[in-house]
Amino acid sequence: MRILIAAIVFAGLATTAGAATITNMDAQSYTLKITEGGDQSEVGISSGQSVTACNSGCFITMPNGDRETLTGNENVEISGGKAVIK
Amino acid sequence: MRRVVHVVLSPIIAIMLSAMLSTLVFADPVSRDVLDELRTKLSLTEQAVEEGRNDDNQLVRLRLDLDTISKGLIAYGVSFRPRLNQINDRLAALGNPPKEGEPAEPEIAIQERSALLGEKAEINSVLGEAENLSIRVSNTIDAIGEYRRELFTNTLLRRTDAAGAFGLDTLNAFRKELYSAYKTVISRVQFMWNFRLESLLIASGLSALLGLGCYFLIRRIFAPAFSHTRHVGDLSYISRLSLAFWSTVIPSLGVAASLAVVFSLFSYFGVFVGDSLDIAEALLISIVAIFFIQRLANALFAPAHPERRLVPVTNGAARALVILTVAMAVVHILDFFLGRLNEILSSPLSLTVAKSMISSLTVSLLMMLIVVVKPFRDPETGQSTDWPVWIRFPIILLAGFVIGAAVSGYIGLARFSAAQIVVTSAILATMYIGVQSGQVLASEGGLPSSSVGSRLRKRFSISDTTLDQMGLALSFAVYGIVALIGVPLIALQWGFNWIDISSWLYRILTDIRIGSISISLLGILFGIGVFILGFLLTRRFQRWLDGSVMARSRVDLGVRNSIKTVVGYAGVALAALMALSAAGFDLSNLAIVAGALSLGIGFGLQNIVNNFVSGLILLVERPFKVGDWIVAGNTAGFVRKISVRATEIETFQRQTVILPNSELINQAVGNWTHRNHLGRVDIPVGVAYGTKPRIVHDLLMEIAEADTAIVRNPAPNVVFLGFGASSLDFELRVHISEVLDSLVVATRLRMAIVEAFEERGIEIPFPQQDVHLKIKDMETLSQAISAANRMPKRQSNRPASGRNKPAGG
Repeated sequence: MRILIAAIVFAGLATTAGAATITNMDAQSYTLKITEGGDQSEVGISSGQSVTACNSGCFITMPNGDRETLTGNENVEISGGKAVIK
Repeated sequence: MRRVVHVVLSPIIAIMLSAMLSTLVFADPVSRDVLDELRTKLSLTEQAVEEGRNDDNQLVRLRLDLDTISKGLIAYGVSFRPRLNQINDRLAALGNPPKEGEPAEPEIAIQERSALLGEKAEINSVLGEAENLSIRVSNTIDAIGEYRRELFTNTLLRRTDAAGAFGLDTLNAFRKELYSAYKTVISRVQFMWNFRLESLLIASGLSALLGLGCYFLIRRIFAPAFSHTRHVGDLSYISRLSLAFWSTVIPSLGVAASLAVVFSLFSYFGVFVGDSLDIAEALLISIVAIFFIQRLANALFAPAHPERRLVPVTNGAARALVILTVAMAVVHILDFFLGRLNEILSSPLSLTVAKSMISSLTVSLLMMLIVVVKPFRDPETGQSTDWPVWIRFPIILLAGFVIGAAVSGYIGLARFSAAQIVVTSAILATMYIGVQSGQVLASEGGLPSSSVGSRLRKRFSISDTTLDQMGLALSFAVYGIVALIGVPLIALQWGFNWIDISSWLYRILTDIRIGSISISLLGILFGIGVFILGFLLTRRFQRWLDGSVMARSRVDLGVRNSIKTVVGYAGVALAALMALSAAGFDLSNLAIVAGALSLGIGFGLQNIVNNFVSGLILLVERPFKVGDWIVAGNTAGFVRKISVRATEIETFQRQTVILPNSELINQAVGNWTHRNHLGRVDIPVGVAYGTKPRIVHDLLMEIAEADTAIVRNPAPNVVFLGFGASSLDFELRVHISEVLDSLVVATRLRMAIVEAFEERGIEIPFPQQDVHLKIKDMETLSQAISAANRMPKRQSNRPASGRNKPAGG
């Protein structure tokens, strides 16, 4: 029983941990503008590559100019220059 | 107290804010109200930061506010996501606007598209503003860090005119301060007495009742843990430790709880408000802290009870050390209390300077006195000895440093160092007890020999070995807890704040980077947890399947065993896979591992894999099951366990033979108990020439039929094997239902045969030989012999065993 509780606690902790994963599904490379904790950075992401960013919430500008806000546990797929957040 | 309320409320406010945001946003997709609100709040906070840049507590509070704003901004941004998705879906459905030459689309589509694009552009711009605000928030957070650092260095390295602080003015100011503190409290009480007597009485009565009740309840519940009478004589170290722990923590908790009850009642009934509330709070904290330190010192040195002493010092030294350490704590806490009073009543600076100077000098003086104490006794000469150099020297150095700083005017530095020394050593002393208890638990026989251990043993009937292992695990837990509580406490003391510490901890737990590899301790722990859980579930499932399902369905024991084993391996493999993926390993990497392994199998692992596959075949084909009597090569015995690599066989001499499974597959294996336990027992027997064979046949059949262990079908039979050298050879062949009883049955039959033959006068012969002697002086010899005794010439060839039977019978 104790182990079960511990496992559930771990599960809870583990799910809160982790950053957003952004995957480029397109054939071309993109540059994303990510603002996280006051730092603005440009992140290049080549075709098929995945980057992790955004540990604790960030603003992100997609290649097509769309802005998105991430809390830090999303899976984002870029296809056709657009972001699909899961 | 306010800060505590603040810390508790901030997340709640944040959650409420985000909930409010989401409803607002759904009502009106591009609502700027919330953004404006956050912007106003940010501006106010920025202003407050600039104004309060000299107040460290204020800066810490504002930093928490900024975190809330930052979270609010993210929540605000996230709240647009559903609408953005809707817009994007709709735009995708509408498709791109027609190019030149393509047929024009209906007006309504054009309008909708432009409306959607407009809304999207607005959302984008709002999000852009939120993004800019978030940058402002983080800049302000940086500024707060900068200000706090400056503040810290300024306080420490500011020189004050210490001499000027000691004068009549300061004394007067001190008197005034005490008076105004007294007045603040008393006037409040007087006011309550005159106008709100009811509240005052209720608050006092209730708090006295509840506070005392609380205190006595805790004392009563835990009294047996640290009563004086129970422990007589020499105590084990672990009992002393637990005694120290409980006699420190429980009374302190009791005092803290009862005072907290009193305090909250007084503030609830409005007896104290404003300044008087702050003063009461400071007083409460001071009392609890002094009480705790006093209990801790008493627990460590136990001046009245040498048998309970944790630090092995002499009686006199223990008394002195308790007085000195408690005095140091009292000075420090008095300094804290007066400091709060200064803050609350905004007293003149000279008072603060004088107070800090006195307290830091007193603390260093007390430290010097501690060094003077001769705590140990030389076992040979019986004379008291000094502290070891490595304790004495740093204390003298620190005390000298504090005195130097105070005398040369760096009062802030002196006060800070003195405070750090007192508080850090209190924390270190507590950690010392923790580490000691961990060490005792980890030592062999630590837990089993303790009273807790013996109680556990009695209650749950745990063996000493298990208790010992539990002690080891417990000691790791104790170390972990000590480090987890002690280190952040010390870090907090030295000016780090909670947010930094928690983010470090978070990073250590989730993201240790070595090169490009990132290791998450939490992930690994989680993986281990998943594996243990999977393993336990598998075992439980196995037991249920075996005990409840298969046992009741009368499934054959061998099948049960095979299924149990296969389920076990499958469960463990599944748990391992789940644990790996839970720990964050990419399972696709397993393919690479499998590739490498297949090469390895080709070279070195082929034997193991051969056995492994053989084991699987054994489990499926089941040529034998656990408990069978098998013969494989030179090994014969009972099968005890069928594992996937090897099978355990216990021979009749109780030797366990581990036979690789491949041998059981590749060679012929005899199984005595494969389909049934029927077995044949052969008993050869010879009778003397001259006996009638038919009588022997009937006699043997009679004996066989009389035995109950012998089955009737196949019926027992007697075979006349042939004419032996000295006997007619028969063999009695019987079948028995339990082959394992064959030796018992054979013995019984042989006995019956001997008895029956004796009764009927049938002789069982042994080999006989005639010996002819050829001697030259035959006649002389024969005369001599016949002269000695007139015995027949023919002599029997007696066997060595000395059986005395007449020859030829």
